[in-house]
Amino acid sequence: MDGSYLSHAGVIAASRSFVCIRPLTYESAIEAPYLQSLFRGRSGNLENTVFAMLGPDAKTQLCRTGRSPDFAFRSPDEMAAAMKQILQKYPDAKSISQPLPLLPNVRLGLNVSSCDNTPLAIIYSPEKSTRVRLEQQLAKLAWSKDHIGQVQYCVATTAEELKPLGLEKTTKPGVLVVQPGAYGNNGHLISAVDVTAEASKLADAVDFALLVSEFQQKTMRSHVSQGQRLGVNWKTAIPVTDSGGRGRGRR
Amino acid sequence: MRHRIALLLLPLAATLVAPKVDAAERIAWYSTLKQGLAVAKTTGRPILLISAAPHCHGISGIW
Repeated sequence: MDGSYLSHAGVIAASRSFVCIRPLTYESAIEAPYLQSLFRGRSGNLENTVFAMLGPDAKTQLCRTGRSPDFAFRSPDEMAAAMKQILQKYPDAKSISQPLPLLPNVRLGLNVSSCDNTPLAIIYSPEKSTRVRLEQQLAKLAWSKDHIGQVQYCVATTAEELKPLGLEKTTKPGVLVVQPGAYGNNGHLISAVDVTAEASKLADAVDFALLVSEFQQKTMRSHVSQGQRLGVNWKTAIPVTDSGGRGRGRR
Repeated sequence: MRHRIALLLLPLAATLVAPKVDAAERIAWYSTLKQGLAVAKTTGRPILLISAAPHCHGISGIW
């Protein structure tokens, strides 16, 4: 996918008034049929990427749907202009306090934050009420002007889920901000706050992680070849059906 | 060791960097249809959707 569309200033500015959803292809058997209903490749199967702009009903197609934005637009400028036009059709759209955008679990959280080169904040608590409270506190931060899109978030309900970080025996409930490893299969703790922390302490922990985390730009070819040498082998939740990929799904 | 030091310095460093950390702007994504579609329904906002696989040829850490 051409990343220039999604990093274009006009597209990002317009995206603030959209609801932006990036489902993880081949990571949910429940989501796959919907993605497939939006776009199928020549093989008729679900491809690695699906692009769509839709009405709030998730059915009305607002532009040509395809594998990527360049199926619908000739340039990022054109996409940004189209998004602005679309927004004019929805003058009554509400501005609400949005929930914390959560990745499905720690495993995917580490991988996606590695793909995005961002820190990952993990809300860890066995108690639902504590998780909900921390989610609400972090949501305010996540949608604030200086933090929007800068950090990934997920939830852990058991210490076992923290195993990829080596924290399963030592960590107390709270918010853990970690730097993912290059392959997103591990990571290390940068900052942490306990469950009683005030919102300002949460913000400090996140800001500190943003300050000290270090990411190297990845190039597809060297990342893949080095990953193969290291024996990295990501298992998808459902089989990969894109003809350009390898069918390594859990069966 | 580096990370232990980092944790110890957290309050000081956070004070120094607050209130903001300069970073390139990014799109903020919901990662699940369930969460994203619920927000779209509640707000009446249009949806920008791009699904992506967080691996390439079985190698994670890259879109």
